[in-house]
Amino acid sequence: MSTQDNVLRASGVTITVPMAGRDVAAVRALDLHLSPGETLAIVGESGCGKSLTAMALAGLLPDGVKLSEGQIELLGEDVTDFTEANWRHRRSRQLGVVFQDPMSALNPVLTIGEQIIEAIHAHQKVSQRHALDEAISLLERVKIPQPQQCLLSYPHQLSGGMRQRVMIAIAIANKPRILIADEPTTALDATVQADILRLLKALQRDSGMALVLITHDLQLVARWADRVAVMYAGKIVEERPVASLLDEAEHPYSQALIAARPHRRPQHAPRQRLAEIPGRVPAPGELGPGCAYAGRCDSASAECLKKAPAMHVIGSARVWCHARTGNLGHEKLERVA
Amino acid sequence: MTPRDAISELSVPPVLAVEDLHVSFSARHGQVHAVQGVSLEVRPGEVLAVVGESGSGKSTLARALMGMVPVSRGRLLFNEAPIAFSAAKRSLLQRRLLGMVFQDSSAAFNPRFTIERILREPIELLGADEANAGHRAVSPAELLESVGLAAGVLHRRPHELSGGQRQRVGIARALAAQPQLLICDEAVSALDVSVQAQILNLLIELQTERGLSLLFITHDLSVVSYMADRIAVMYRGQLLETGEVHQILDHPAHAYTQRLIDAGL
Repeated sequence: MSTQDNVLRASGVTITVPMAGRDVAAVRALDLHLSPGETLAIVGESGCGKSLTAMALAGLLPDGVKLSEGQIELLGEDVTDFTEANWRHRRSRQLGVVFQDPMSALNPVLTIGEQIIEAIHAHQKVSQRHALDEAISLLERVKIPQPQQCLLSYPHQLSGGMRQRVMIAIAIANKPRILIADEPTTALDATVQADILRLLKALQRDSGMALVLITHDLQLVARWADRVAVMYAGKIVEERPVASLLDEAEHPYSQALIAARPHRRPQHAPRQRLAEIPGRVPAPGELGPGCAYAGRCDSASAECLKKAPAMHVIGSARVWCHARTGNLGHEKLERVA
Repeated sequence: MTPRDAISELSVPPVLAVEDLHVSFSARHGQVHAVQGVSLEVRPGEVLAVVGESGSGKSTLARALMGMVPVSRGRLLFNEAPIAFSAAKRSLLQRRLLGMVFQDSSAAFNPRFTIERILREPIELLGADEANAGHRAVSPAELLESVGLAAGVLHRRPHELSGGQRQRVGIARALAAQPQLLICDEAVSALDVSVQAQILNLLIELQTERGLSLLFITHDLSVVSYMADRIAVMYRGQLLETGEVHQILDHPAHAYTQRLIDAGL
């Protein structure tokens, strides 16, 4: 795919975090691309680097955390070395951001109304009246029951779920080309979660907004995303269309994650034990030269411990796994082609 | 009628019966009627899932069972005997029937205490009972073993454990009194999928090996569809419907239940 087709692209991105006096890579050699209107899910368990990736893509890495290698392109522009001042013009209009903890993103001394109107005015020259109407309509779209009352409230007066919805309203206020959402609906009830995701889908349909959805929830991914990147210990281990994720995942870690999900059991049948993944995720800095998953992997061989796996294209998937090279992949290659 | 149907008609006394339970709070805007006339039963060895969204009253119900919030009306029966609403007025024997596991169990741990001390507390409070001969208190090491943790963990402090290990300690603590019924309030909601699988497996082991009943409170319907024998659906303080898991998932009586299922599965 050419650069022009991508609204967002990361190439070879490595992110380091300070640990015990040195910088340790927490995200390693990450490649991602995002097309207009597409939903890319980044999925993984705590500590896999998915939130750091989201922050890097939005130019919001915390102090001390560095993008030490690689390049990020936003709408064809290299933003790797952007300052906060550069970013401020891009964020909101080109790129909206929703993070998991809305309390840290909202200003505690301004009302919700002031904050939404401020966000609208930052990029649109419209009258106060118009901005107010727009703010009400945004709150209605994120299913806030009494928008007028909400506009007059301060963040601390709202529940966590309400604050999350306000964050989403602010993030989409300027119809960004790209929305980066880190666990945007985790704090919300299932029915509200479905409403919000339906709203985001509608925005994508109407305006071609592309969405990066960071989540640990495979169910959510399977239902709402187009493409998925599975991360483990700071690296993408598999990337594929979502349609084939649950049935055809190639990487042993993807397969283990899928098998560990609770599933509905047949009537009157005893519960089958859920598949567990033995061991734990290695911390950044504990990694050897080989595949980070090798220590927990059923299919691991001696090679896996020695050498990091290269990327293999299997059908429409990209997989980083020694065990999925050779004959194992050929069958799938032919079927998809 | 199949043999299974015939057997299912046998009446086994429930471990817990809740009758017309009401809980209200005074809030700034007046009275909040958090639980409104809920009646349900938990049968021996079964997993009853209570599902509902935030504000449905499911966590208040759990706290009422534990005697942690004031009940305004209704009846609670454990093994067919009525018990007091307030934990302080319950006998040791009654308090021992129930254990509770929270979403973030470690929030209840003193961060400066070792795991041994954290486990010894409830054992001393509830575990030993001189008056009731034959009841032997468990040791902290035995408790850890029953939740799949090595004795080495005894000397650690909460922050030295992973999220999954802390939740195991939370379960071990709830088991200190050797309860018949374990209330799990969003006990696996904050865990990663692989850790969640471990904790669910552990809970199922405890249920099958000890005949423990579980009252499983959650908003996560995929967890429910795996864990539950029966489901109780709550909405705005009321119990909408109760039924066998497949009946509720395939033929919900209420439109709200259908919406929950559509959104969650």
